Amino acid sequence: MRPAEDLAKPWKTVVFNDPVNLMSYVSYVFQSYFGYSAEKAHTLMLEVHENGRSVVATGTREAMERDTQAMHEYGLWAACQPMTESD
Amino acid sequence: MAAIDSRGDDVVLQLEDNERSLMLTVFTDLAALLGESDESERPASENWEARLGLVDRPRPEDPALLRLFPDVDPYDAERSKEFRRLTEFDLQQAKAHNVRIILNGLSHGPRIPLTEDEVLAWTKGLNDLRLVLAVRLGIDTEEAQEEKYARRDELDESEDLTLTLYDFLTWVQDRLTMTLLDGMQGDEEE
Repeated sequence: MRPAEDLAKPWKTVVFNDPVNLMSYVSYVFQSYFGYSAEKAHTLMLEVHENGRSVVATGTREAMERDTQAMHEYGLWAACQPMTESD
Repeated sequence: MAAIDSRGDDVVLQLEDNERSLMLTVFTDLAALLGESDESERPASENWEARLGLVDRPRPEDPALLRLFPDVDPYDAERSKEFRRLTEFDLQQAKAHNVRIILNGLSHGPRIPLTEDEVLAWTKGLNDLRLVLAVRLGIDTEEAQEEKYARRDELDESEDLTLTLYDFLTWVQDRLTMTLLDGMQGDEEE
């Protein structure tokens, strides 16, 4: 039995690192699309760059699929996946 | 040499003739790549079916196209197939639209004034083109990229030209992105 919060937020949008996407552009996308602050966008961008991936949003499957689709439109390499224990 | 001039809300991209004709060529190629399964050549009924997500769309075999239209989850083929059926048409239309805006701008002359929306379309289109060129150059990881630059002397002429073009497009995209970031800063201060 999972806690209620897990049931409410069981999906994630993950952005993967690739050598093409510019740091400036990734920061811009995170600020512009998600409405994150410059600081938060910068932190997430560095996480993608240094760890190879970052969970940039969590929520319902429908919302996360929408976010992933948007990331693909920007050309970021992103996926929508169910949350796991390690998230 | 290309220049980007931004004062207030206006962004003006200035390109040399050779830069402009090269960009026209490669963006025309990108338009063709995006139109490979050309929607306009299909019967209107099929177009509507695709728009409504009624038609399965094959997973691209060309790695460049797969990079532009990735799986929704690389670990879930079934869900990726469904997602492709439901969303790929719209994604393809959005990408093709950005390229049309770029081609339209390039055809106007050496001095290209851009609205903020157009700057955004340009940065997205430049990013898509760079993704395709990177796949063609075999730059799929940061290590591969470093290796490519380290062994630049050994590249054949066409690969060397592609890398030069890639660098040029990177510079333009980065500068245009800076104007978008500056615009956001302005919004926060207001």
